[in-house]
Amino acid sequence: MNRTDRLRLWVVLIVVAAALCFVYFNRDGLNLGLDLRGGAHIVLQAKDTPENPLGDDSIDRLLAVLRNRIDQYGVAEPIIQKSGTDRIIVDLPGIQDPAAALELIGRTAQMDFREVLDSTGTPPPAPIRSNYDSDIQFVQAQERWQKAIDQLGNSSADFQVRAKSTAGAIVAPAEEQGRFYLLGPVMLSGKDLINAAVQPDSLGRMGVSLEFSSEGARLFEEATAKLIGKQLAIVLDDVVISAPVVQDRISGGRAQITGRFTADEAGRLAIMLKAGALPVAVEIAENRSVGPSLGADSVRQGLEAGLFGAGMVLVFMLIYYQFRGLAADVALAVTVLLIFAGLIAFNATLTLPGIAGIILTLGMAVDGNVLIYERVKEEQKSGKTPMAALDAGFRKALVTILDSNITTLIAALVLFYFGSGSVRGFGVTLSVGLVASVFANIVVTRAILQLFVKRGKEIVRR
Amino acid sequence: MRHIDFMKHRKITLTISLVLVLASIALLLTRGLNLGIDFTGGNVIQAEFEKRPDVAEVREVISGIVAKGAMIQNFGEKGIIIRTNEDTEQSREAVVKALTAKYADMKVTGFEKVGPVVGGELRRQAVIGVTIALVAILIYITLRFQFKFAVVSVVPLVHDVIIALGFFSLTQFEIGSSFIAAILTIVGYSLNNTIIILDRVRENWGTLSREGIVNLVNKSLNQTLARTINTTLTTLFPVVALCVWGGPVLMAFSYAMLVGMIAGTWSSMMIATGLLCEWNLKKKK
Repeated sequence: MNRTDRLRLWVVLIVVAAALCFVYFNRDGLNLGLDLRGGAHIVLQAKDTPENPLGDDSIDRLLAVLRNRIDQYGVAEPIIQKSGTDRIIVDLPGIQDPAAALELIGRTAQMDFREVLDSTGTPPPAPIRSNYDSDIQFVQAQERWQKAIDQLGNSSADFQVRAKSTAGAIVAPAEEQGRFYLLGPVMLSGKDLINAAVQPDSLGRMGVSLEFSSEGARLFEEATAKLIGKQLAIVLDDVVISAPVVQDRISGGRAQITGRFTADEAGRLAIMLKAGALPVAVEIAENRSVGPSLGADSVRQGLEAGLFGAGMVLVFMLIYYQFRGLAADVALAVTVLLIFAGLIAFNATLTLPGIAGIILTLGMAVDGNVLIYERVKEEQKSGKTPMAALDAGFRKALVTILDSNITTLIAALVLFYFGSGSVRGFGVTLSVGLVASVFANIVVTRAILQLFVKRGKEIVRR
Repeated sequence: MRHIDFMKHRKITLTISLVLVLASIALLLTRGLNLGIDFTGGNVIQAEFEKRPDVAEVREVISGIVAKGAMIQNFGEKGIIIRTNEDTEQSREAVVKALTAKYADMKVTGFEKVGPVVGGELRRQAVIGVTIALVAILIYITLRFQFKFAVVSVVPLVHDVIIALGFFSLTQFEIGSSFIAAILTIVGYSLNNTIIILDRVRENWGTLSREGIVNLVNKSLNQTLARTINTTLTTLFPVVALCVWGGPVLMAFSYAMLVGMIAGTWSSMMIATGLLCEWNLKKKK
C-alpha cells in the first residue's frame, strides 16, 4: 500500500467517523417540511395602497409585527421570512387551526397609547440550583418563587374585575413573562404617529424618538400633561411593549423614550412603533395546510418505498458484482449518511419530493460503481494485473463520472435557485446527493477495493 | 464480445421517436395538461370520512357553491380531494361549511390555496428554469466535448420532456410544482446516460477514419451496454417502488420519473447516437 492509498483510507475513515458523530449529535437538526409533519404554510403579499404605499422598509416593519404576533401565538419553531421584495412566507409547523392563525397574522397592526392605572410587580427570576447548598433549600426556593408568580396571577385576575368597572380599560400583558398592566382608555392611537427612530439622548443613552401628526401632537400634549410622573403605556396588538414614565408635559409633537435600552432593543422598538404607525395591507397569496395524519402517512409511504427500492439495489449489486457489490453497498451506505449530514449542515428542509430525491439518488449513486466495475473488467480483459486494472479502471471512469454528475448538478442547482418551497428542497437534496455519491464512488469504493486487492483476493475477477 | 448492430435500424428508431414526439405534441394541443392549482390558482381541500360518500353525491352538495367545474376524486382509502378554480379563502370556507353540515363525520386533513399571481409566476419560473438548465448544459458539453455533441445530447432531452408531457396529457394526471422537479431530474438522468455513451464515442474518436462513424458508435454502444442495463435497473428499482408504494401524494411525480427514465434510456441509446451518425454522414457527402 503506497502513501496515496493509505491517505485515502484515512480520509474515508475520518469523513465517515465525523459524519456519524455529526449526525448523531445533531439528530434533531433535520428540519422536516410542513408536508411531512403537518402545519400551515402561508404566503402574504404586501399591497400597495394609496393610504399606505409600499416603501423600502415596509416589509421589514411587517416582518417585525408578524414575528411579534406569532410569538404571542406560541407556535414552536415558526419560520417567518422575506421572499422577494413584497412577500413574506410564514411556516407554522403543527398548527391545527390555520384559520385562527391567519386571523391573527392577517390583522392590521394596532398601536395605541394608554394610561397605566396599575401594574403587577416585576416577576422574580426563577431560582437556579447552583445557588443553593442543598436540594431541600432549592425546593423551598422554588416553592417561594411559585407562590410569588401565583400572586402576580391573582392580581391580574383582580385587574380583570377592575377593568370591567372602568370604561375603556383593558388588562394587557407585558412583553416579558408574568407582568400585567391595567390600562386606561386609548389616549391616542398609532395612526397619529408619523415616525419613530433610534436616537441616543445627550447623555449617550439609547432612546427612541417619536414624531406625531398635528392632531397627534395635540392629543399627546394632553396625555403627557395629565400623566406627569406616571407611566404611559405603548401598546402594540394588546401587548405593552414599553411603559415609560412621563417626565414633563410635551408639546410640539416630538418626544423621546429613554430607558435602559441596548442599541438592538431600541432599534426593535422603533420598528415596532413604526409598524404600528404604518400598517401595510396584506393579501394571502398562498395558504397550504397539511394535517399531521396526512403528513405521517406520506412519510411512512415514502420510507417504505425508499427502503424497498434501496433493498433491491443492494441485493442486485451483491448478486451481480459479488465482492465488489459489497463495496458498492458500503459506498451507498456512506452516501446516505453523507446526505443526511449534508442536509443537517445546510439546515435544509426535508420535504416529500426531497425524500423522493434521496430514493432516486440511491439508484443513481451506484451508477458510478457500475461504471468503474465495467471499466475494470475491460482493463483486466486486456491482460492487466488486478491492481493495475483497478488503477486504470478508476482513472478512466473518473472523467466519465465527473462529466455526467456535473451536468446533472447543473440541473439540480437550477432547481435550487429558481424553485421555491418543496421544489427547492428537492434541488438541495439532489445536489447534496450528487456530491456525496461522487465522493462515495471514487474515494470510498476505491479505498475498500484496495484493501481487498491487498489481501490478495481476486475480487476483480469475474 | 457481443456485438449488436444498434445503428442498423437508426432510421426506423429515429422515426419511432419522431412519431412519439409528434403524437405528444398533438395530445398537448388537443387535450392539454391537467394543471394543478400551483399553476392555475385555486383551492384544494382534502377531507377524510368515517364512511366515504360517493363522489357524485359530494358534487351535488357543493354544486350550488362553486360556480366553475370542481374536480372531485377519491384520495387514499377514506379521503376525497376537491379542487376548484376559485382562488379565494371565502370560496373554500363556504365549501367546507356546506360539507360539514352534510357529513358529520368529515374531517379536513389538509387544504391548499394558491392565489392567481403565484400561479402565473410558477409557470414563468418553470419555463425559465428549464431553459436555463438546458442552455447551461449545452455550454458545459460544448466546453468539455464539442458543439456537435452538445446538440445531439440536448435533442434527446427535448424528446424526453415532450414525451413525459404527452404522457401526462394522455393520462390527465395532475401537474403540480413537483412536476418541474421531476422534469429536471429526467433531464439530468437522460443527460447522464447520453454523456456516458458520448464519452465513449469521444474516447474512440481516433479510430473514426478507419472504422467510420456507424461502426464507431456501435462499438461505443456495445462497450457501455452492460453499464447502461445495470444502471437503468438500479434506478428503476427505486422509481418503481415509489410508483407502487409511494402513496397518492407522490404518484404523479413517480410516474413522471418512470416514463421519463424509459424515454431517457431509449433516447440516449438510439436518438443521440443516431443523430450523430446522420450528421456526420451528411457532412461528408
